[in-house]
Amino acid sequence: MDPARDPIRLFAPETREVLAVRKETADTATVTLAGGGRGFVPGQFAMVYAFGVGESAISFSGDPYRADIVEHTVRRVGAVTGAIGALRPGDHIGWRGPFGTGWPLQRARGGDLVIVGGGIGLAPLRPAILAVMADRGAYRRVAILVGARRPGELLYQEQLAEWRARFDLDVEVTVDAAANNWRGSVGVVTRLIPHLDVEPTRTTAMVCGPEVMMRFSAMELQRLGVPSRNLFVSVERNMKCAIALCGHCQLGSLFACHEGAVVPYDRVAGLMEVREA
Amino acid sequence: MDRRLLTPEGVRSLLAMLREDGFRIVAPSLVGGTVSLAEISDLDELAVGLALEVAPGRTRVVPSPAMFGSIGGPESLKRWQHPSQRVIWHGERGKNGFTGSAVVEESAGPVAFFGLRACDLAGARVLAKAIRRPLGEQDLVISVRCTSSAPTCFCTTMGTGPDVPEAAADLILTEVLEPKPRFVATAASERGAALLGRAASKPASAADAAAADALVAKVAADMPVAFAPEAARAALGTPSGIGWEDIGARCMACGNCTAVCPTCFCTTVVDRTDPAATVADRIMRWDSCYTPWFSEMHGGSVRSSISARYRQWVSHKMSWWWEQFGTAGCVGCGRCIVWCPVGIDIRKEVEAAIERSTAHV
Repeated sequence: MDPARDPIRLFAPETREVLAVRKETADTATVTLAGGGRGFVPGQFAMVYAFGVGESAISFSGDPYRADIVEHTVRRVGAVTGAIGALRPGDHIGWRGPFGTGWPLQRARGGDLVIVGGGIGLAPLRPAILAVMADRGAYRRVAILVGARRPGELLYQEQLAEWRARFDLDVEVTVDAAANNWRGSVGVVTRLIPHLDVEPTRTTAMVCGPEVMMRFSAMELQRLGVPSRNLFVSVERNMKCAIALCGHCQLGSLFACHEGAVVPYDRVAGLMEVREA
Repeated sequence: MDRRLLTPEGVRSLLAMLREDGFRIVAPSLVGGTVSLAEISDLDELAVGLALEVAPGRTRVVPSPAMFGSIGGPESLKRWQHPSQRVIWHGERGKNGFTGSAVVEESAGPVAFFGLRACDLAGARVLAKAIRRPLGEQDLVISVRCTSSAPTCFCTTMGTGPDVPEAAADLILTEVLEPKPRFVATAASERGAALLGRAASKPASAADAAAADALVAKVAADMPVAFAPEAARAALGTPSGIGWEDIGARCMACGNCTAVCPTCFCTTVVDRTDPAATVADRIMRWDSCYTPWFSEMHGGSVRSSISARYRQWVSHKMSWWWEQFGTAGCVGCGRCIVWCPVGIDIRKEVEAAIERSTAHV
């Protein structure tokens, strides 16, 4: 075995200081880490390491043009994300990245753009939205559809309100269920798709959320007339290495960490229709 | 290349020379009640005159007229090429966060692998693609061509044996028993030729060489072709939700097949800390797609049923591997059949999948 060719070196995290932790919802927080994102593109992810606990694949959720910090929005669902969620400013965390593919922003230029985020799925889309807004003239209509299970689970609420106030974005927000004091839209996010005011054949769609939501979003978008080749989703799988080495994230022949997470929907449509693929 | 004749003692002397040259020797040895590749510290540990009688879910050590007759032992080159457990990172917590660095293995010295079959070498080639880590250049490979096969063998189906391509080894031996035990040796590299040149040997006659080749050819001719690999690739390309209930009831998801498979490469990384969590080692170890945690995400496993896990494993081996690495992930060694506690035969499962896919068209 030749140590010089050992890919194990790629597993070493760098240490980063936590600058801020902003609570988003009851179980979700956005952490700001010192140091830039090493030129990440929206849709990519980093491996975030809690010392002595483990690593988790976490999407970039912040501004891709900031060279001094990175942001990750983390939902506490297990040991590692629990440890990340418990961080305080001044703490340190391990970090390596960026990994994976990004949203097809270049490809989408000159056409209409539909962004659909469900739940925490809005996090990996946020850098794309920020990149689009920094270069708003390059796109025609831009629609952002946001869904969450309940009003309290909506991420980036202040920013959503800002985006909704703009005349150059169509932002719709809906929740699956709500108490009586919610005056907004109720229903799954896919139900907003038929009402989109876009030119379907010139539309690129970027969808991220639970697998079933992405599948039905793709169906609705195609029904609207968006060609399937213009649909992009971000697939989520258990990721341990992020460099197509550990085998965990495989979906068919796809290493989700390497050939994804963002993939053309056509690449995974068949697999998404099969239970437990 | 020139072919030479070695006596059984001559073969032992090759190994003795390699030891003197500083090689660690990995060869078939009687360990854990079976004959398996193992690192030996003494030539007496060689499993000489022993074979494995194997069947689905069953092995037994039996005497063998051949010096090196065993096929189907649990260990492949994977044990040395892709260690089952290794520390890859060490970190220490300090006042300001923590520091750490990658732990890159020191080589424990070159290894001479002895007694490797064609399927072992194919397995190492296929595994190297997945882990991006070939055998060390200093390692030496002495292959023994198969002059018998086990009922679990299907290398001819997968196109990996029983003949050994010269590019795969430094020295290739073929054991000929009649009229008296001897080895026909082919040096397949300069290092192999140099080694062979140091042993007492004489030129092999055309008749000796032909006898050796005929034995290998007979193994190939007698081995049934289990299925067409291209049909398997097509049948398992898109996961089908139907037809996997039966295997889900038989398979225990123990992961033995993935452990003994020479190409199964999946790993996980776990943290090991002291009680105060002031130091942490990150340990990479073999994982298996049969474990429930393999595909675990928030909300549970993607593949919670055993049926789905078996489908994942066999589809990856026979189909998706082609797209990923340009080859099948199976080399037809049959270890997964031998070491399955309930004797699940991948050949039959693949055949059934091919039948189902054609029946549904």
